[in-house]
Amino acid sequence: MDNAQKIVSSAIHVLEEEIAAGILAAKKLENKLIDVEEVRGNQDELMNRIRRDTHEAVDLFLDAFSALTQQLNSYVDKSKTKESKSRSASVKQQYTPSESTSNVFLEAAKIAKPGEVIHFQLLISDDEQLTQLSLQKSAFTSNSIHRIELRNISVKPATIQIKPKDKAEITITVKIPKTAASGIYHATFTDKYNPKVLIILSLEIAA
Amino acid sequence: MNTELMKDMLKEYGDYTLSGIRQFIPAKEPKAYLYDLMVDYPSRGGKGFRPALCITTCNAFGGKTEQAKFSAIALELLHNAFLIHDDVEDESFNRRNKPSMHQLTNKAIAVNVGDAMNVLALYPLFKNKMVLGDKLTQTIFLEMQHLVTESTEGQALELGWRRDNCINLREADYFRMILKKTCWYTCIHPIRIGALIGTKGYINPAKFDRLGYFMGAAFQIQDDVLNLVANEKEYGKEIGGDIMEGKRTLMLIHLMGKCNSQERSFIRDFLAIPILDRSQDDAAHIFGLMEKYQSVKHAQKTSQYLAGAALKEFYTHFSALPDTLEKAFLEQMILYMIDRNY
Repeated sequence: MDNAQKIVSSAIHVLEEEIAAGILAAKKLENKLIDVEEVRGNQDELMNRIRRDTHEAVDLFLDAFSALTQQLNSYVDKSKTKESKSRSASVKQQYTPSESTSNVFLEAAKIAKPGEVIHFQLLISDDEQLTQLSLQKSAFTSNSIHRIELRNISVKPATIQIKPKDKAEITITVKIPKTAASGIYHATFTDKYNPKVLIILSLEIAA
Repeated sequence: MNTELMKDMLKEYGDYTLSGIRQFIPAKEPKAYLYDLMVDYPSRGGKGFRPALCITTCNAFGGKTEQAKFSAIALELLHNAFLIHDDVEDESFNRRNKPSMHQLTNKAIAVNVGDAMNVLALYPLFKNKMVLGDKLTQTIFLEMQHLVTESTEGQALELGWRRDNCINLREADYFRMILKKTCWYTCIHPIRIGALIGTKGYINPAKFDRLGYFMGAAFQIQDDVLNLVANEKEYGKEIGGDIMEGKRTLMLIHLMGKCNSQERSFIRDFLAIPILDRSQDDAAHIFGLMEKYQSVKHAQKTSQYLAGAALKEFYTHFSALPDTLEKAFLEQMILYMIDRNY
């Protein structure tokens, strides 16, 4: 039975990583597309275009691609209601445990090289209640078979308790192995005391 | 519900979808090189798994079969397009007891037929507007876009591992690959789309991700096991073909983790040579090693554990719904996976 639980847990972990990676990828895609705002402002026109000519498969795909970005953007916006709006918060992110019901994104500010050390900082504050937080770390994986193992990742402090209106900072340090392959890596951390929250970390390595 | 009734319902949904596919095939030339070939794979009596999941989930949530029809047709068109391309990529000889498309024609024609079927799937998705309205049509279109993206990413992983002869794979790598390659398009999205249609879009489809994932993973592992132990006529493909093709199955990954260094070298060398140069005797030896290290048994157990997890998810999300034939069908499909005796 233990074996069954281990297998199912392992499978669930992969699913959660993939969903988190998908959300991040959609967000990055949206940032790259320059016409998203225009499409967002005129959804009827998009549907009219689809209506006009279904045989133009290429056009249809292009439109749908933009619409996908729009929808995923909406999903991301919905799912990370408490995320900081600022893109500069890529390495330092505010987190309010009592208000958080979904995902927190942390993205490395620069492309890292093998052998470098990357820090992610999470600023914790809660005006309402005494909060305990304990981050459960996971390995970083890229979409292929590459990994940065747990032994290269540290969380300090691992567990904290914050009084109302106090602030605290958690630093996640990732030592990138010298043999690390190029790619975009993701890790999904959870808060032991608030399992609904996923803390998704992303970093890019260029060997 | 018993297994026979479940199989009858699967066939019924398969036939319903096939008749819909025929309506979408243009009645014009070039028939011999394209349009006649597009109905070949769907007419070979596939399981109809994906349309059935989509339609029955829709029904279970209160929707009508006709509302899910176009989505089911698109799912089945995409599935058969993937199969045609898969067979080329894997250099498979047979599909559903007949020569694979590229064996029947040639690789160039087969790739083109697959391309045409992928594009044809756009049309029923567009037609969804007639029965579902603009908003839901757009939502389903994006579900399909995600389905295709994930499937191609999963296929890329598997093909890449084979090209680079990756042998240091772990079970988590396998789970990731089949999540992408199989689960999204075989179970997760058919269920999500069915639920979206049945509720007129008023449901968060993400709640079915785990159900579809567990079902899809159990299904894929069982399919891989059957490739080794089934009766060839019943299975419809060459038995042991996955070993010959070097597919990174759960059994192979388990074996590589258990065998000794000499056996590991043998497997690595076997996988390093081109598919058509590999010998059946060597493949049989690898199958013997899988039996020696109980890799097949491990895969069967894993599949049953995942099917059990799927059943738990099913009860979580479907228990509150009225008891209907379609709900019983979904439950029976999962129970069948758990009880399946290979």
